[in-house]
Amino acid sequence: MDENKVSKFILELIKRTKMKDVIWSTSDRVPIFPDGGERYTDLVYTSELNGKIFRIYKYQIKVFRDEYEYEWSERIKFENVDSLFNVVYEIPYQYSLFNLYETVREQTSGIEDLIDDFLK
Amino acid sequence: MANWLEVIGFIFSVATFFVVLFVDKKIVHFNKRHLLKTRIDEHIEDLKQISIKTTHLLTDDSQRKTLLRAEITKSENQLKSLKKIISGKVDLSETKTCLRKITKIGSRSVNVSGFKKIFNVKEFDQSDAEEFYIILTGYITYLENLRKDNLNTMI
Repeated sequence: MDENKVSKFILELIKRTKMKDVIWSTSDRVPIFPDGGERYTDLVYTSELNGKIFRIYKYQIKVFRDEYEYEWSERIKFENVDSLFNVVYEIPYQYSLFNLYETVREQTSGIEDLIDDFLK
Repeated sequence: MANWLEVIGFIFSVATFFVVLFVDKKIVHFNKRHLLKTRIDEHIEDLKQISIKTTHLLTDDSQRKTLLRAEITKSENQLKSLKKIISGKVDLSETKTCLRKITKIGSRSVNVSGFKKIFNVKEFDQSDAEEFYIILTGYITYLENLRKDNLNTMI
């Protein structure tokens, strides 16, 4: 898929999430990683876009320095899933997914509304 | 007998000297590599902060243009500094292309009036800000991969 098109899609999603045109919610359908090379670390969020379910979550991946030494690197997965949460398509990773994840987290936490109410 | 011991002692001294020299060189090399990684990490972190601020500014109308331009200038400085650090260690073409594109976007005027309007100078607008964001996050992805790929081999 065209990388630039994906970047534009993610940016548009960030904007619409900020404007609350796209609504996200936390999900208890935690992704499963069969081998030890990856581990899921944080909340999972889902949303529906044009009738398709999208899921975003943070995970860590092992980056090896040599045969035995490694460090955990944080990544984001953004996937189109079916109703049983099987992955239909995974959007290729790029850094702006982190910004999308943080925007989604901010929206679902409701922290902005809380601060606005508190400051009234 | 004493002469022989002197000769053996001398050989040991010379061998120790070269071993120390070799270890010392390795320590200097390790320090350089560590410093480089730390500095690259710092730059990646700063660029990430700029991208976060840019996402906020893209949906906030108040003083947006001026603040966005400030973020573009910041990223330009980060990239120039990063270019110096990684020069000679990795291929600079990606960094140069990114810097050129960002400089071009940053040179667009916030307010186009008078002569600039007559000469049809392009005003800095939303599409420029979005273009900047996409270039910046693309470059951060490149740096993350570069760091990962060169975890042991850089320098």
